[in-house]
This record gives sequence, structure tokens and C-alpha cells, in this order.
Amino acid sequence: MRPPGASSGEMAEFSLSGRAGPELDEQLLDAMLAGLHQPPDAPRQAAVVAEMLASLASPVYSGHLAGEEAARSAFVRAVSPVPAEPPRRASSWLRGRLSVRLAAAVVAAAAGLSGTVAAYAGALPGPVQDLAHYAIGAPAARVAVADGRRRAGHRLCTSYARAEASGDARAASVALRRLASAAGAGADGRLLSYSQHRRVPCASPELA
Amino acid sequence: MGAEFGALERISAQAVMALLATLPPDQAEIIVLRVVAGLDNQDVARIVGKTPGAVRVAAHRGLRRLAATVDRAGVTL
Repeated sequence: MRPPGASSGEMAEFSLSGRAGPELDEQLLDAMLAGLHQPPDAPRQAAVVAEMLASLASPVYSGHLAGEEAARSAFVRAVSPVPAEPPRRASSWLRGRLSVRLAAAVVAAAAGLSGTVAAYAGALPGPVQDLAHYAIGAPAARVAVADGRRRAGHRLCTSYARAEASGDARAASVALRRLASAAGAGADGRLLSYSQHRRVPCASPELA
Repeated sequence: MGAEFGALERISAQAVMALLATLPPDQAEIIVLRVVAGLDNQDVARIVGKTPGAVRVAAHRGLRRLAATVDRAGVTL
């Protein structure tokens, strides 16, 4: 929709530079989620959010660690009968660091909104919190796990950890798939098993 | 320098998570799965029990809210 009185040239400028946060277009938003570079004339908030998200993309999930891709594929296979495709993460994610200035601004904003930077602990679903804990060092969720399931999970965790430590990606994938299956039909259980095993917490009594 | 930068990285990542936690839980969860775990809409949809389209819409809504939040807070690059 063209603003009243705007020429087509003015419209192009309006559509790129005049976007406020809530009007960010879908292409920009998809690019943020995919880790693609934002265009130079992207709205300021879009660039900030893109940098913030990039800082969360741990190298752990970028294929830098041995066996990571095998584990990711095993996880995706465990939740889906459809063959997993290679991750479409763009290399721009690998920057992964906020500038000191932006980091300070984000910390200040978070503290202003929630009173403390770590106030999100418990605000996110437990498995997601654990995933964040593994990836970025966020506080772990305290997830109540039934004893039987915990023991079974610990055995599978140990199997997975051993397979991964031995460098046997195939065995690690199999172990992870078994773990995901044993975690139950719920999506949370699958993700929990994934997050537990990706951070190899077999010795942790409350989560193992 | 290394240790200081590591501490800054960690606390800023936690600050980003704190901002994400201001979103509705389903939007925050989907964005974390997309960004941190690197899953696509289809995989996230299977995990959270939504359609890929609904996942995309929820992610977009979350990002728009996040952009509005950083705008109000005056966060700049």
C-alpha cells in the first residue's frame, strides 16, 4: 500500500527504511531465523534482533564438534519419519558474538525489563531451558523425572556418551535415537532427552 | 581478556534469553528451537505439535514483539 502522495520511488524507500518493529516484513523475519545477513537498509531493530539471535547460535549446533551433525540428524529422525536434511544454517551465524556495546545495551534492557538478567529461568519450558543451558550456559531447568525413567535414561545416556567419546558417530546416532524413543511420546520428552544427551549430563543426579 | 570476554558473552547471551522470555512461551520456545537448535519449521512443527505454517507465524510474531521491545528499550548496534 502506497502512502498518500508517495511516488513509486518514494514507496521503495518507505518500504525499506520506514519499517517499524511490528511492520517487519516476512522476508526479513525469515532471514533472521535462517541466520542470513540483513540488508544494509534493514530497520535498526531488525539488525539488533538479528545480532541477538546470532549470539545464541552456539558453535555446538553449527557442526563444529565431531558427531554433532550425526546427533542432530538422529534427533530429527527420532521425531520424524522424514529423512533429515542438512542444516541450512548460514555461515553468518558463526560470528556468534555481540559487540561489547550491543551486549551492554542488551544486558541493560533485559535488566530493566525483568529486574535481573537471569530472571528468565523458569519462564521458558523446561526442555528449552535445558537446551539453552547446554548451548549458552543459561541456568538449567529443574525438571522432575520419575525414578524409573531417570534410571533408564541414565543407562541410555551412558551408552550415548560412550559412543560419542569413542568417535563412533553411527553408534552415537543409534544410542541417541533409542534415548529419544525411550523418553516417551511427548515432544517435551524427546527434546529433553536430546538436550540431556547433547550436554552429556549422565552424572547429574537430578537430570540424568 | 579472554576470561572477561567469555563472561561478557555468557551474560549477554543470558540477557538475550531474558528478552526472549518476555515473549509468550510458545513463541519463545519456537524461536529457541529455530535459532539455538538450528531446526527448520518442519522439524519444530513436529516437536511442538503445530503445522509448519503455524510455527512460522508464531516465530514471526515473536520476532516482531522482540523488535518492538528492543525499540522501546532504545537498544542500538
